[in-house]
Amino acid sequence: MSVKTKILLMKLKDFWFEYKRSKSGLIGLGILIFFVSLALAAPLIAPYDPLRDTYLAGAYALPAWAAPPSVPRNMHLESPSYPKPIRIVGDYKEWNVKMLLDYPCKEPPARMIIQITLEYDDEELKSFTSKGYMPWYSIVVVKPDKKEMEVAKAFIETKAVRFDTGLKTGLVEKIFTMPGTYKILVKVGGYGLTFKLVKVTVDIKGKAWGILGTDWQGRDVWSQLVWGTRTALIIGILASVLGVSIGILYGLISGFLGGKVDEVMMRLADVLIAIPKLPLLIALAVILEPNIWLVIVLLGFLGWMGIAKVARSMTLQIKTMQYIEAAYAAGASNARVMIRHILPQLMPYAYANLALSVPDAILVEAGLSFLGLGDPRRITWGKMLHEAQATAALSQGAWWWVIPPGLAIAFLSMSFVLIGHAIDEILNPRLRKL
Amino acid sequence: MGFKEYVLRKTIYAIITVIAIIILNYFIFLVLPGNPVHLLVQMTAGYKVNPEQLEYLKKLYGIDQPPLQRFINYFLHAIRFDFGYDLLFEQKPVINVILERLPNTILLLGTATIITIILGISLGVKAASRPGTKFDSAVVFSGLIGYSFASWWVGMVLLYFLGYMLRLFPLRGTVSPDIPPGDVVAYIKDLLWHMTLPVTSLVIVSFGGYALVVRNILVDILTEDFIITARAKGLPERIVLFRHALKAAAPPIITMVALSFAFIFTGAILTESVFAWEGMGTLIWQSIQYRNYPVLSGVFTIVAYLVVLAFYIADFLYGVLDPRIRVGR
Repeated sequence: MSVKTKILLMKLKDFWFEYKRSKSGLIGLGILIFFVSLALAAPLIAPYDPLRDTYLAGAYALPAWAAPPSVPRNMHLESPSYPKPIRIVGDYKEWNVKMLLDYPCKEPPARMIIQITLEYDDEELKSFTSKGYMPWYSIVVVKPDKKEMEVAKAFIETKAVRFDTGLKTGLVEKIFTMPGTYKILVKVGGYGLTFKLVKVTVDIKGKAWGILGTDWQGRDVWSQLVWGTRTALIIGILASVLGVSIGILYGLISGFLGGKVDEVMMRLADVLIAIPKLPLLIALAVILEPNIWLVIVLLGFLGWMGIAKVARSMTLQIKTMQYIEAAYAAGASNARVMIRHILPQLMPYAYANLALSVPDAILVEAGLSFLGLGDPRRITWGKMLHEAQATAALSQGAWWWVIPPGLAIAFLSMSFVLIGHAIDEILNPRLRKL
Repeated sequence: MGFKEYVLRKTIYAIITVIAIIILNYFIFLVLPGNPVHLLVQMTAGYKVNPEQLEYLKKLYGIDQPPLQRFINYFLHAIRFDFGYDLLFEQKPVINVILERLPNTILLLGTATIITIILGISLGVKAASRPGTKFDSAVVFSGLIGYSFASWWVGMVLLYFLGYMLRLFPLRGTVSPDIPPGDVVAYIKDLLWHMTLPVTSLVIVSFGGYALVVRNILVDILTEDFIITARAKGLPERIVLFRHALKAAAPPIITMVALSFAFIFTGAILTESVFAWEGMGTLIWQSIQYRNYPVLSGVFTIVAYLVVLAFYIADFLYGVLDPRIRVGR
């Protein structure tokens, strides 16, 4: 271990010793660690694709823990598996698969999907259809009160027949009117065509599901929240690093060079401050294809002015100190003085601001996504809220889709603010109070 | 350097900044794709427009001239608040479109800003006068909330609980459509009713930040010698706080207040969009969506003027309040 790393380690140790004493700093760190572990563990704890896995349950399904037992859950039923696929010879003869479904709730489920997997010879089917014959299937539900109801009757056109009550409004409510044992009968007929029936599955999509329920397309809100954490962290941290780096360097150069150059550089910063940031960002995001890297760069380039101003005034003061004069006397070049003697003095301010600039980036990005200007391929918290707003989720009472992302934005931002303040207090750059 | 010279220097700075801003705005909208004539032609008549009409339109929007001439035209018009004609809303002058939306925004954000400032400064002063107490920590905590919560999200949540669940407040808009025209009292009542939630959500997230800044500045100042002297003289704490400490803390607070007022003009794009409030924010959002560049450029330029003005006023007040600034440096 070199001397330099030893010194660095010692400094870090000292820093941690101080940091430990700040209660709010520790709370902030705790929240941040929580979010970082969420982001890292995303593939493990959020197994569903936040955007593509639709109808995991019904639309707007409640979180499972928040729903009373009277709210229907997901159910899955498979026909007895046939060790050897059964050969059905149609020829006006009807064939039944009989399945029993114990449905415990008064309330109907969100939807019922029945899938019939068949095998048949394509050539044979073609010769039949060319004669004007079509094989068909029919699904009959016998309710607990023994009333029969034919819910579907249609021609078979594929080997994976799919019947979905979601395609007809009010159907599922008509089927499930009471708790009890339902009989589901599937009939396949085919004018002499030979079928192999592989299996029949019945899926009941519930109205309560998962950790945070589902959105308007039955997608997993928890997965969206967890994967959104990654995006928020990436955008917040990178935009902040970019903005603070630009700000510190700009202020350093401006203050160091002084005179006319300083004047011009500071006027330029003033001009940029005077441009409304959010409208400009929105305009740019509408025109340029939005992706998160672009958003990071834009946020970074629009968020350095305040930091530059402080860094400049700090530089102006440091410049007049005697050790700088001593460095020059020892033969140091301008660049060396700037980088080796002034920049390190600015770093405490930079560190604190690295943390303090993150919330702004997170909030602005969330705002952009909220307007629908986010990266279309990535889930972000802002985008969740955008879709919730666009589909009037709150009028469906879907608080689980609106409250968590907003709180996540707030808590992640708050963790950075708390950490930033704790760092600021320790490194306490008195110079800042110019 | 005397006060006159100080003011003169700041005036020159302000003018230079305004010029730079107009130039920058010109280039922003030069870089953005599509020019007004293209957009207009696409929107109104499809792609087939006879050449004479095209020439006429180009002349109307001044696109037929060489770039330098165009810039000079833009510049000369911009400093007179003339930003050309808007492309969507019945082709009115941009300034008229802006003036139509402005009252709503000033009403919403002006109210919110004033409440925020009064609440923020008074809480900040109170917290600074008793550092370390529970009240102080509460103020610091509300400041942190201000940094962290999105006002538009707070708006959504308020709308859900108070508007949708409890039906206490309207769900959207600026005024109800069924208010009889001429009934001023009913109109004002209805407007206030619509304003309550957006104003609340804006204030909730911003007063804490103000309070925190004011508190931090004051806590520093209250340890200084002149405060100890004032207390030693036996002055009542109120006078020490408001006459001595707050006066010394004024410059940064003035900048903050001035900037808040300047940015009222852009409206609150996100909050206005949540509440469907017909203000500048909605105008900006619509203009961006439909590439209504003249309106956008007008908004950007006016905001920039206001920000420069805010800084200028702040600088001027610094000079008045703090003799060191105008004499020293």
